[in-house]
Order: sequence, then C-alpha cells, then structure tokens
Amino acid sequence: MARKVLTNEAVEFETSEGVEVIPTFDSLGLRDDLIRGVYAYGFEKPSAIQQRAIKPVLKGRDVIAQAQSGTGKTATFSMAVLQCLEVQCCPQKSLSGLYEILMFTLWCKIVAKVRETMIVTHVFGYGDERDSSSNYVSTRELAVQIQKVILALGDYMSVQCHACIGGTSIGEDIRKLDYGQHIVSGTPGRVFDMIRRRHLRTRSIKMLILDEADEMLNKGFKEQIYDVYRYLPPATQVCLFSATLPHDVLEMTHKFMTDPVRILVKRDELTLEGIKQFFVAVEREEWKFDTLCDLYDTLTISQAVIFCNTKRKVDWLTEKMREANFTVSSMHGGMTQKERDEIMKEFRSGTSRVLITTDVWARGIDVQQVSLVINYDLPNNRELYIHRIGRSGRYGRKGVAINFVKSDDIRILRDIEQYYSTQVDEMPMNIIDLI
Amino acid sequence: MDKKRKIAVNSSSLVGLKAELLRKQEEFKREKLGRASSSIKPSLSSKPGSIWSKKKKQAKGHVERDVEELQKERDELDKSRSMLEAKAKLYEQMTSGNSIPDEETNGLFLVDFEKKQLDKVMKSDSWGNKLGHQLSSDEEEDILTPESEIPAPENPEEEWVDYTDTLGRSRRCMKKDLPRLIKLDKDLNPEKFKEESVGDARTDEGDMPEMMSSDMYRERMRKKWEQEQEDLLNRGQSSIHYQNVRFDEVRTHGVGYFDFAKDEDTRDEQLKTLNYLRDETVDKRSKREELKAKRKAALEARLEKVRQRKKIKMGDAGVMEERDDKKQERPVEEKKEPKEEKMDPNWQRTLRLVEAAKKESSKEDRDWDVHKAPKAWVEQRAKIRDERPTEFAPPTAIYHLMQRRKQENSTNLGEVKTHHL
Repeated sequence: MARKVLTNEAVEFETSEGVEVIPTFDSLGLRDDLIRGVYAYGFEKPSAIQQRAIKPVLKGRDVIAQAQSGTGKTATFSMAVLQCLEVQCCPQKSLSGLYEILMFTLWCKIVAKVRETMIVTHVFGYGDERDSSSNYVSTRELAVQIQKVILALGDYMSVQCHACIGGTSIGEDIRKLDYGQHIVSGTPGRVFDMIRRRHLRTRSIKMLILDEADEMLNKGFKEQIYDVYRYLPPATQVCLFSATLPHDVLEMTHKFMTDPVRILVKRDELTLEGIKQFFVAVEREEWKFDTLCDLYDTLTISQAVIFCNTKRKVDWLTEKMREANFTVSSMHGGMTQKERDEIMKEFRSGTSRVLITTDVWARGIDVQQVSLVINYDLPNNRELYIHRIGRSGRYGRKGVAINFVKSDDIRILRDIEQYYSTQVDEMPMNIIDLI
Repeated sequence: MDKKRKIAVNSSSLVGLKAELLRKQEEFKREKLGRASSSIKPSLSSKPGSIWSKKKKQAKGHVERDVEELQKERDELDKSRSMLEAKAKLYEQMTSGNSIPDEETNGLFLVDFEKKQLDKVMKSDSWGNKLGHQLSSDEEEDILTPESEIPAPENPEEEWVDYTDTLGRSRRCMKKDLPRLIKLDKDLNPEKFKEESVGDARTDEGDMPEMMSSDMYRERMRKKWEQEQEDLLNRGQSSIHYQNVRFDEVRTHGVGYFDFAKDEDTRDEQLKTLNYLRDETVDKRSKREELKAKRKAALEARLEKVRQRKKIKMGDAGVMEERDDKKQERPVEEKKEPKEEKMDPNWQRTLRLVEAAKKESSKEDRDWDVHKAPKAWVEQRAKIRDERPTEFAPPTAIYHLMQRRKQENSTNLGEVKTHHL
C-alpha cells in the first residue's frame, strides 16, 4: 500500500487555486427566500465546505468537493441547487406528444424559467437493484433524506423535489415526474429506468450531482452512472461530493467533467476532533456480545448505531440482544422498503434508540442525536471506517466511536489509525462521560 | 369361701380408684409426650453420667415437680386462650354490628369503633355515588379516610368531599354544595376550564396518553406515520413540503424555524401572515435606518459648522462675522426645535451640548479660564514672533491693515452688544 501511495504522489490531486472563501450566508448572495430557509433549518454560519463550494457551483463550474463527515455537504449542494432554480412560477404541467413538438420553440425559451429539472443522484449498491449477499446495500434512505433537506431549505420557495427510489411504486414515480419536478433525488437504478421510459426527460436537466461520489463511481456502479450520463445534455454541470475521494476516483473524473474546481481534504485531516475513537480488545468473537451488553447503558444515553458486516450477523445479533431483554431495532438491505422506512422513522423520531445495521447505514445518513457508533465488526475498507464513525458527531456535535477488535484485528485498526494520522486509544472506564 | 367373701367396696372408693387410675394414665401419657418433645424437657431424658448419677437420684422428686409446673403452665395458656377467644368474639360483635356504638361504651375501649363504623359507611356510600369529574383519584382516596371529627352523614347529600379548585386550593365541602363551588370556580377562572375541556377532547380523539408501554407507543406512532404517508399520496402534486415528510423527526432547527401546518390551506395562510410580518419588519427597519442617517447628517452638518467657526476664530477672524452667522442660524434652529422635541431625548441632549459648546467657544474668556495663568502659548508665540528675523517677517503693511480691522471689529462688537441688550 505504501508503494502505491508513493507512486500516486506524482499526480497528487490538490485543492484548486483561487478558491474563494465566503464567510457568511449573506455575502454568498443567496436569494432571500432561500436564506430564510437556511437560517430556519439551523445553519447560522457556513461551514468550511459551504464557504468554499457553493460559489463555484453557482458560477456553473464543475465541482469536486470533499469535506469531513457531518460538515454540511448535503446542505452545500442543496443550497447551490436551490439558488440556481427559478421557482417563482409553478412548475408547468409537462407537455407530451405532438403538443410538445409544436411547442418546441417556445419550450426552448421557457425551459430555463419554468421547468428546470435537476437530478441529484447518489450512492446505491447491488442491494437495491438485485438482491445479493453483498454488504454494500443501497441507501435509498439517503435519497429521501436529501429530498427532506431540500424541502426544508426551500420551505419558503415552493420547490418541487421528488425522491425517485427503488422499492416504491413506479406508477407514483411516473405521476410525480410527469407533473414536473424541480429537483429529483434518486438512486441510479430507478432514475435510469425513468429516463429510459421517458418520464424523466433529460433535455432540460441542468445539473448532475453525485453525492457519495466515490461509492458511486466504484466498480459495478460506474456503468449505471455512465448510462444516466449518456442521456444528459452535453452542457450539464456535474458536481461530485463525498467525504472520501480515493485517488482512482479522482483520476476518472476527467472522463465526464470539464476543468473541475477541486476542493479536497488531506487524509490526515479527514477525521474529526469531535469524534473520539476507542477500541475494546476481545480475545474471542463470543466476547463481543458480552461487551456490548455491558455497554448497553451507555448506548441508550442518546442514540447509537452498531455496525456489523453482514445482514445475517445483524439478524443474529438483534435476536440475541432481544433474548437478553435489551431493546434494539435493526435494519439491513434484506428488508422490504416499507420495513426500512418504518425503522428509519422510528430511529429518527427517537422511538428506538439502538440500531443494529450493516453498511447500508454507513454513508450520509444524518440523525443528530447519534453520539455513539460501535463497530461490532471492523469495516472492510478504510473509507467505510470514516463514513461509519461519521454517523456520530454531526455538524460540530461530539461523538464517540468504539471498535471491537479481536487480536488479529488490531493490526487492521493500527493501519487505519496510521492512514488517517488519527488516534484510537483503548476504551477508558469513564466512557459514559465522553458521550 | 374366698369366692363368697365379698370385698366390701363402697362406691366412693371405687370412684376414687378410678380417678387414681385415670390420673396415672394421664401422667403416663404426659410423660410420653414430654419425652417425644425432648428439646423442651432435657432433664427428663435420663442420660447416664458417672459424675451426675448421684445427683440424679436426688432429682427424682424434681421430675414430678416439673410435671406439675408444666400442668400449671398449660392451664394458664388455656385460660388466656379462652380469654382471647372471648375478646375476639366481642370485637367481632362490636364491628359487625351495623349500628354505631353509643358514647358510653365507646369510652370503655381503646379502639375507636365509632370511626371504624363511620369509615365503613362512607366507603359504601362513596362507591355507590359518582363524584364530580374534577375529583382526581387521590382526592377520592382522601374521602375514603376523612378525619374522625367529621360526623357521619345522615344522607348521602351531606357527605363531606374534598375538592381542588383551578387555583390549586383544596377545599372540603358538603356534597350538595359541590356544584355551586364548581360554578364559582368556573366564573373565577373560565380559561382554565376551557383548556381542560379542550384537553379532554384531545384525549378523546386518540392522542397519546401519558403512560403506555414502549411497544404500544411504537404501534401508535407507526399508525400515525402510515396515516401521514397516505395523506402524502393523496395530496396535490404541488403541495409536498418539509412538514409533510418530517414524520416526527427529532431535529434542532434554527430560532427562525416555523413549523408550518401540514394542511395546505392553513400553510398558505401562515405563510401569508409570516410574509406580511416580515415585510413590515423590513419596512420599519429601513425607515428607522433612514431616520438615523438623516439625524446623523444633521449632526454632522452642525458639527462642521462649529468646527468652521472655531477655525475662523483661530485664524483671528472677526467676531462680527461669527455673530452674523449666529443671527442667521438662530431662526433656523428655532424652526427645527419643535420637531426635535419629538425625537429621542438622547438626541436632544446632544444638541443642547453642542449648542452650549458653541456659546462657550464664542466667548473670549470663558469663566473657567479666569483664574488660569496667562496663556503660555500666547506668550510663547509672541516670543517666537519677536525673535523672528525681520527679513522673513511679513511686510509691515499687513500689520497696519490688521490693526485697523481689529479696531473696527471692537467698535462693531460694542454696537451689536448694545443692540442685543
């Protein structure tokens, strides 16, 4: 690995020069009704990424933006997208068939004003499109969350935003898209389906945003993104956002982006001060369960997420915890969308406090009250580690991550520690004070 | 012969014998029993002991004594038992009787049978009759155990009840007076009653009760969300907002957050009101800013004038001009005055101070300068001027000119002064 890093250094990507830093929302020149929504949602001062990335997006540049987990990336592109919209008039009913052709010239004129559709696509995985045993499962929940954020920020703007995700009624999607939407937030599978069926007409799409971009441009998903990309008008603005942007992902961006503005974070600055990381050394796998039971009181102080590496293990652990009379809920890609929705609502509303889950939950999901993350199993790669522990310590809050490590796992943890130049200590007795 | 010979036994001796036999039998039985329960009488169980064997012989009579004592004890126990039984019977009789015992018998016993009786009556009555809905359960409990000094009710309407009014005062009244008291309370504090009824209505609608198991709560929430989800599908295309997709998420919003209604019409109304208020704020704010700017400009202008006047004076300019200046300014200021009265007092004070400063500076010798030493700088300046080489001095003609002007000024000043007087 060290050697690879060395070779990479020759073409190391760095933050573009001349990125402006804008210290307040007011000086960003956002529209009035958007500013109201921004302040109402709880933002007072733009975070580092918001200070840097909003302006270039507004200028119409392609942007690659990286920032630590929970520092407001979603809000960054949401604000930018909302600022670009013109929603004074209601989105027009879509014109179809002959009428559309007749209206074509007129359509071209008004398209920029009336029906500006944007597409916000983001992480997905095998799980959504075809059920596999893979640990990477799509986070449709993320699409719904983005829709929520956009609706919240645009609360005073009468914005139309639709979450276009798998596992839901196609008819409903078609109805919504035919009506016309300003912004579509979706998973690539369903979005591509809608494009192919010509319900999501791409002609007027202005912007493509890939949230959790590295995950999306990974291996199998790349194809689907390219599928979508091929349908977009050539002038479409493309923006990538993620907390982790490995080198190979950055390398391939030139294929679909033109002269992007890069805002990057060095990997030794990627872990947040606010999230304290610990490990508990267990000799055998069985001891993890006892350790977890001992920690249960700590878990329920606020809310906690426990990560396992497989769906089966999630089910097993949930069952075992319930047998021992602990209240837990669980979620993984093997559940129906309805079940998943319900569990998300329960967890977001604080009805349930401890969630056992897979990496379906690792990226992007934002629940403010989560202050503790437990890696029951260590994640399969370094990026996932950053994303998992980033479920706690949202937007400047404090967080704690506890890793259960068997003796042969310690090496992996030390590797992670070194890679991000961070510190993972043995869990102290007074862990409860840190939460 | 022997057979013939009859032993003459009288009946009394026979009875005596029989009695003796019975006694012996009894004794034996008792002994047997005693042996069975060895722990009570260890002395009876004879254990061979070399040293104590002698003593044992002496203790023979002692055994008999022991048995006697035991008998006595038993008799006493029997006696006390029968006494207790009698007592219990009496007690039962006293408590079971439905009539309340009279005063005389009451004094005999330590137990207050009257109160007990009273309690019983009250209990049966309070269960039988429904109390006002304002009475909470613990208040009812109070009624079940009222103080002993309250006499028993003769009819249910005269029963004593506790009642807490809306101000939190607890009162005790006859049951027949309760409606009247509630009415009084209603008149006193109508809002509270309205709230109460609203609260009742809400719970009727199926809102969350305070106490429920977590499973039940979860079930309720699920149902609620399902309902909301359905609403979401049924509502118009253009009316999906943040509040419709929140689903009770716990989230800290900014202070400016307004939780709009989920219903579209109400939301529009709220938005309208909010926008109106906002516009008003913006309007007022800009007006205030304008006013502030105006005032500032006015102050600046005046200060500028003062500064200029000072400059003129320092440049040995004639006092006359200044006076003229003042004359011109006076009427303008007087015109302004009434307007300024409406302005804030701070501003007026500043104005007055500026005015005073102006007056002071116009005087040649201010009153606090009187006792001061001769102006050092003036002397210094004179000295410097004296020392100045003549070849660099201004032409002498200027001196003449200046002197003449000074004289003119002083005469003018005199005229003005008299004029003013």
